[in-house]
Amino acid sequence: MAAADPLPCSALLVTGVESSDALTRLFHQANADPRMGALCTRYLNGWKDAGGGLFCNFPSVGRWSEWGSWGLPQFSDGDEGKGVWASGPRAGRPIAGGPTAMACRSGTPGRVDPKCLQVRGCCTLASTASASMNRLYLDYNCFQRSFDDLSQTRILMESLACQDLFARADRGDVELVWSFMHADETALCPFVHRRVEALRLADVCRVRVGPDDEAVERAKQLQDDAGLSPKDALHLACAVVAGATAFLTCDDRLVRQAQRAPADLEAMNPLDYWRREYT
Amino acid sequence: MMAETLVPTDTELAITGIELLNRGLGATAALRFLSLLHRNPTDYVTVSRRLYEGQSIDEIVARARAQWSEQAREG
Repeated sequence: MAAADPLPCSALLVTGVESSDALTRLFHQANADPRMGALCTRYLNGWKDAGGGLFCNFPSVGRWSEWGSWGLPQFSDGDEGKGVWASGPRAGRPIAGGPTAMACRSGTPGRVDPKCLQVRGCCTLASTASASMNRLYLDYNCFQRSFDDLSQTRILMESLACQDLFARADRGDVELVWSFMHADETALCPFVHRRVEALRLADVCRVRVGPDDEAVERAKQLQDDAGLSPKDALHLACAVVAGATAFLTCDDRLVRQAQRAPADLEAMNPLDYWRREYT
Repeated sequence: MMAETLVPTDTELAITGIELLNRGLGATAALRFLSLLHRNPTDYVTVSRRLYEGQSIDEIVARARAQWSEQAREG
């Protein structure tokens, strides 16, 4: 479905009516059962295999009650072992300001489940998080996201994620790359004020990639091997040449193509990256 | 005789304003502020695809190289 339809965003809303204390307890027990984590992992892997992109779940955190077991964890600062994500896809992610959640149970405890990572990057990334500063290559649409149609929830959330990444780069928490392709896209941008602001954001990017032969040859290989468009192949090649750890783009088709491409970096939506790293 | 007053165009005014914002707030805060004011009903994923439609890698690189060199000269 998602592969045929470019619309990338979907929301899962699980609901029901609970009419007795016994039924409520049963639902809560079911939600806390470790097997629920495996079930959700399987569901998300199926979503990803079908070509799905951004996956919205309602809600991320919420207290369970007779009105439903809505939250993934119940509390933002803890809730270990209670809730589907404590035993499933979110397991092992450190909770900001709180204790470290338990090791992933969807694979071998303490180890990253690669398949799970491909879905949402939801397993523990301790090795990545403790490594040296992340170097990110943002596709040009990330530089322009804040001026797009923010009445669309997805675009709004992506713009906030991108803004936060720029702020983190400004503080020196992450490294961003500015390439000759960013410069070219800026020159072609039909909106004057957006063009000027993109050039200012270039100052926040501390790594530069010029139009050398290595990037161009790599782009031609990527175009042949992964069927990327010339523009996308050049951006991805610049990311590889820059030694970026992740290539972030709001273009779902490009995310899928880049994930299949022979490039030694992650490719994902900036919002997915932000949520994985900072929530 | 009255001195001639130069009135900036809208574009010049916008560029000057954005530069001042960046100087005063920094690039990332300026971006947040500008996003409150300037919203186009666009999705730049689509805009970008359209702008590069039909262009080969060699065509893009030739233009980009000229652009890159020019920016390097301007510092």
